[in-house]
Amino acid sequence: MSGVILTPVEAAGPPIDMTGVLPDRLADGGRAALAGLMLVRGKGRHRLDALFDLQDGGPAGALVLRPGAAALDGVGAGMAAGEILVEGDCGAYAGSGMRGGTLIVEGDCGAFAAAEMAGGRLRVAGDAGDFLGAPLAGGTRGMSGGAVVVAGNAGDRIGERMRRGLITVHGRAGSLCGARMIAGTIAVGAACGPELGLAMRRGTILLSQAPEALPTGFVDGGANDWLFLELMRRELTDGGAWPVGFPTVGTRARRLVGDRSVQGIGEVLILSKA
Amino acid sequence: MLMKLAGGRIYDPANGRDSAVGDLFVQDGRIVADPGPGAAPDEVHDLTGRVVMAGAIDIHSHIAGGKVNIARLLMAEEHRAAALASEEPCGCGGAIATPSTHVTGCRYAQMGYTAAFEPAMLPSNARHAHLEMADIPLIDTGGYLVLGNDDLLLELLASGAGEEAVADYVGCMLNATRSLAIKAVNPGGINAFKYNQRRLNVDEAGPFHAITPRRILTALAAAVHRLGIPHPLHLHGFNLGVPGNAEATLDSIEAVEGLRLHLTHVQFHAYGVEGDRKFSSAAARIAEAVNRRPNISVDVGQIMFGQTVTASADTMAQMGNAGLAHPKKWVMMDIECDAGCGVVPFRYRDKAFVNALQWAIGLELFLLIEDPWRIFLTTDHPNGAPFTSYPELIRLLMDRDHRLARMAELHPDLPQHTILGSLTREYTLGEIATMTRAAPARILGLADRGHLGPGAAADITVYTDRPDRRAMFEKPDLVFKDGRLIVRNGVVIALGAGRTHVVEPAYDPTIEAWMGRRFDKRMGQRLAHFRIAEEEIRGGNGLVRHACTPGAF
Repeated sequence: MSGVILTPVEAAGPPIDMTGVLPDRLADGGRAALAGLMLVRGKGRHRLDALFDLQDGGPAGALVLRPGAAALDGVGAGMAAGEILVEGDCGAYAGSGMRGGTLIVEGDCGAFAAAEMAGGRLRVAGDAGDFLGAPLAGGTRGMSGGAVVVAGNAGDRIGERMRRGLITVHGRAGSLCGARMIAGTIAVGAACGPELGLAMRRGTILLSQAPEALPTGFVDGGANDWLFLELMRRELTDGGAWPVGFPTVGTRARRLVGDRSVQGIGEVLILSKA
Repeated sequence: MLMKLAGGRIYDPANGRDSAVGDLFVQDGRIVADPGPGAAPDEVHDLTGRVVMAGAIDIHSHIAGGKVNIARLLMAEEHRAAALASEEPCGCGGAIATPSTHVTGCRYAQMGYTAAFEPAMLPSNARHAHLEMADIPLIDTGGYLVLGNDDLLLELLASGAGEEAVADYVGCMLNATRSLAIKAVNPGGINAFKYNQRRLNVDEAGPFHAITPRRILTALAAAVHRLGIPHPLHLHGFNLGVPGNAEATLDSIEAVEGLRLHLTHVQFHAYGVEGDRKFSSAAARIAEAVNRRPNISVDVGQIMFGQTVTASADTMAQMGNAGLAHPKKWVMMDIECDAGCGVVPFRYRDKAFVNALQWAIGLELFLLIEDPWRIFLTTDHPNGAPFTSYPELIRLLMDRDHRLARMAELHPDLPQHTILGSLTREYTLGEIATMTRAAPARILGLADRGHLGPGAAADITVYTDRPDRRAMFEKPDLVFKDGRLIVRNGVVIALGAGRTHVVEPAYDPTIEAWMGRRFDKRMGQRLAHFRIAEEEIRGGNGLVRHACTPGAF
């Protein structure tokens, strides 16, 4: 059995809320169950097969989305298992609340990608917007598990209130990266914006470039050798999650500890070029 | 157009009808007398065997204004959970404890309510509250103005101003904010909180102005009496939620010395300190005091189990509760030195002793206070529970077996701490009609609402008499608003605008010179801008004025 390829019938118009369009649905009820899903687009509710053309194709059991110019929100939101491949860009909430499975986006993602994610994998070949791995509006916790890899740049507040899991951004990150972080790991390959780790309690942020100024509330612990970096590099390199700008050998890193203004003992590790 | 509602069992306590089989006639949005055999109605509804009541009126429900909106923002996850509520005419909005304006109006109408009143409109928030109330479809609204912690009143009292000057100030504020009544929230306490005090007794002088809460309370009750405002002073009392606060509640009843006083969400103010948990029911004492004094009325503020959010101007009480927030997030703020604002999400748990006893205390009050004209059905939405739990609450009042069955599911220690099990009273349909229709209209001074006599607004609800009272009150067969059918079988079929009810008491405008100077110096806007013009209320369409009769009440 092959997968299903979904192509929007009409690209122009308000975003389509893809919540509930999941590989589970295909596995449980087949194409008919998928086609009969009711989706919200703008003010109206429509059957999925009124909004999308369905064709067989792609890996077995997987959903392949070809959004073209259409805006698709909530792709893979709440996904527990299976695979979704997006051959284009996603709107907001891609992979938000994901618990398992794999979501691969060949283009860019909007805001709140992987927000409140609890497990699974999200890979973005392009850029990600603000609130990557952050809490959803009204939520009190960000990402609590799983792994996110962004090949391009990411926006503001990535990993805010994050509790567990990994976020790798190969490019730049915006302001307030790791703000109010509780635990977990963030790696940023290029520069980070201002207010790095603001009110961070615990957790680890890995950088290869020192921030322009010591972030407020952090103390400088100086450079040391950290053997665990060797293990981490191997692990992340295998998963494609070791940022391209990071050194490929050596275990030396400068460690900033904070945010002391909230009694935080989180760390920012700035890896030394070998 | 003449409409005939034929053969229903009419419950209309204001006109002495209790299950009287008869016809109602409606013309141009009003109930009219029987036009005689010659008249040919354009529309006839056969209501044989059905229960017919006026549209219900909620006298205390936080549905608009500053803290309500802050609660919506804080509880964003509630709104996210239901982005598009349904396919009905009002297919938008969501949430349960913090519903959007559209959902508020539609859910009330679906339960047969045709009016709900916002009981805590801060002066500086009044314009916003009115804009929001105008956005609530289907039901009538109005706001009670919060005074008692505003710096101007406290300064006035501290300067030794007489009863007349206080009444002028209150009258001016009521007119300027287009309000229906006066509410006092923990008078003096919110102001004291701003000086870092965590409690203030009835006879303790507050900081800075050195005024006692008793003085503020009596001054406001006297002002209401002097201005002739139909609704008595609406008092959110002292030490909300604190064990032992029943003393302060009884004190408040004494303090007004025979003037009319409405104690709101009295369940939260009826706690004793007996028992090994130092938390007990004082419902019997409060009920006894209320039964004895015809000048006192109460609404209960029943709690029901589940997730809700508490929103109150009482920052002093809310700061104390902030540690109990569930989910763990809260907002505490001042609003223009008028009062405060505290929003704390909360989940009442049926297995928790304190919550179970709160539930029992509320029901004890309902069952022990004898006169249904002086006790009102509220959950202090959303503080005790969302208003959508009213049908279940009505069932608890009308069905003792259900009450006992529910009680058996709660915390095991509850039966030893409440007399609820021994109370055999069951509310009748007539008493429910009094408590939710006739009495609220009467105590708010709404002469043409809450009854089905000729001249009344044709706000009518029709139910099927089901033994399961919850099912009955959840889904009325028909709801008419101003003679227009808006709900059929519990589903909204037409949208429309409600009205805004206000009073405009006469006062001596010379007070405005003094007020104007204070506004210029201290407030965020001038008195002239603070004043809300008639055209600002529902675009000048839908303001209903109610008569004030100085000295009559």
